Amino acid sequence: MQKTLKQIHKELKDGVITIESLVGSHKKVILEKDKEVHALLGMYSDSLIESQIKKAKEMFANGTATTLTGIPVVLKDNILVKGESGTGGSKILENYTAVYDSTVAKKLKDAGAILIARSNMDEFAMGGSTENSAYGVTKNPHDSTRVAGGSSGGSAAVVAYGGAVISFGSDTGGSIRQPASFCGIVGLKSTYGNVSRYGLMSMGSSLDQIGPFGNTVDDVEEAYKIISGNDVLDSTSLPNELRDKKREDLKKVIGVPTSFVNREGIDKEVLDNFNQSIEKLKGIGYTIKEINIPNLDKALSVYYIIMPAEVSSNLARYDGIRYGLSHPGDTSIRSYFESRTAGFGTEVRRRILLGTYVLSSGYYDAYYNKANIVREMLKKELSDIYATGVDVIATPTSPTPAFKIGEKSQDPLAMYLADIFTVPANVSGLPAISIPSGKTKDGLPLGIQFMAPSMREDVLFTIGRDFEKIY
Amino acid sequence: MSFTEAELDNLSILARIDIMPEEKQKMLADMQAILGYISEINQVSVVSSNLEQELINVVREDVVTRETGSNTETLLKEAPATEDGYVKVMQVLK
Repeated sequence: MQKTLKQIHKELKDGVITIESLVGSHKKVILEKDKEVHALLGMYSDSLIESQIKKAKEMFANGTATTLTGIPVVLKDNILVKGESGTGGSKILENYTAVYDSTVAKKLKDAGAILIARSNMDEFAMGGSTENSAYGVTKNPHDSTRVAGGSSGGSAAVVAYGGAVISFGSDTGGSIRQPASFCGIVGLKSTYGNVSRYGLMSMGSSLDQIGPFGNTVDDVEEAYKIISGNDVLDSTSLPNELRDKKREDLKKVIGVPTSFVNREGIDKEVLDNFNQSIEKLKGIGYTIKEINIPNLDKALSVYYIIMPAEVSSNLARYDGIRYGLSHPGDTSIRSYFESRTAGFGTEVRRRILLGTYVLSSGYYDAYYNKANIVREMLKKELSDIYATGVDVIATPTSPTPAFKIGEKSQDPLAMYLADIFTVPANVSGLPAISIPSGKTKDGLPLGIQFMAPSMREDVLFTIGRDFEKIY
Repeated sequence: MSFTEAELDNLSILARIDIMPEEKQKMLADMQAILGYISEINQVSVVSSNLEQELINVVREDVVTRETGSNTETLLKEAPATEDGYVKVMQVLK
């Protein structure tokens, strides 16, 4: 059993353990385990690690230590740390050094966290298995023939095997929650605009959120508190007046979209596990309410229109001229083709083409515009459901447990369908958490997802802690 | 509606991405499958037009906060080709 963040914090504060020994023991675990799992793309520089250790010691000495002070953390490789490599899992940024700190990295540094390593991911966060990483797949620590999930698979795996206490990923369509579920840990995607996107490599700008992974809901809450907050450097950051809205008391009512959950393609063990979880929640005093959200099952199509549209715009910046891989062609325009074709993997190219298609004249209204309208309809339907006195909406996190490496990698649509339960939170901007809910008979972790109203992460933590007690 | 090879070729030009001959058929089939799925969006009938997004523009004064040139060296270090403090590109106009 891993120690919780609060336990480690107390041990550091009381001098039971030192920061050096804590960092050293995690590095040792990484050295032992990562050769097999391949959760990491690299360690941060010794100078960064040493300067953070020094800072953490000062914070303990002068009484300004936070719960993350002295704690080894890992960042997904699309979150920039000044002076350190940042590849985004792509060949096109193989030799890129970040020229500034992301707001999340800065907040973690200020909190005295020890940034130790960068984690593996699907290229530019596009995928659900890390099989699209240009640097090889991350294996599931529970079964090395299976994926760790994705796109933040490395961040999930490193916490699951004990190489870090806390890690951070990004979630555009489930990329924190699904790998958390596959690896048997907790993962949070907060309300859109809650955590700054400054210094996160943009994928789908209206969907992306950085969020924490941890062993417990408490750990994830502590990490979340440190990285969230308004940021003038992110124009989509929620203003403070929208953060401090009145919090209604918990009604202990959980909405279950039964027909949406009981869908074709859902694994029987996943469904049985979910139904047992719901029964257990009843057992501790929660009321279960069957709900129907008309356009919930359209969220996946909305997502796979809006996200590629934003991808095609965002990835136009990789031009082989200002930074990144450059393959000069015969003409300046051919240089774009050569650099982008050599630098991007298949899935990234596919999504750029798809986005170019849905935004092209003639198809714009049928796809992109329509998706935006359905997105607004779904947001309204969800807020109406919460207004009827539902605290959270519960579903399984993923329709299947971790799948085999290679099982879906040649079938992009099958891979996309695995996002069915996680994308609604991104499309609607709502906070959602994945919490371990047991294992399959083969020992593969499963997760339950709770989705709360805007800025009600507190509800996710309360219900999450209750749920942890019954598992 | 079926997505054609000609459309794929056109997208390739628009997106500045080459599609290799050996991957073309697979890319075409995958795009057709994905577009077939997401086309279900057209089954949704829009009943209410009252769906204005509650979004506001966030703007600020454009204020210079750094000394001119203070980041030039760092940024140029990442550029594939530079000359005399500029990013070097191929000739654009003949």
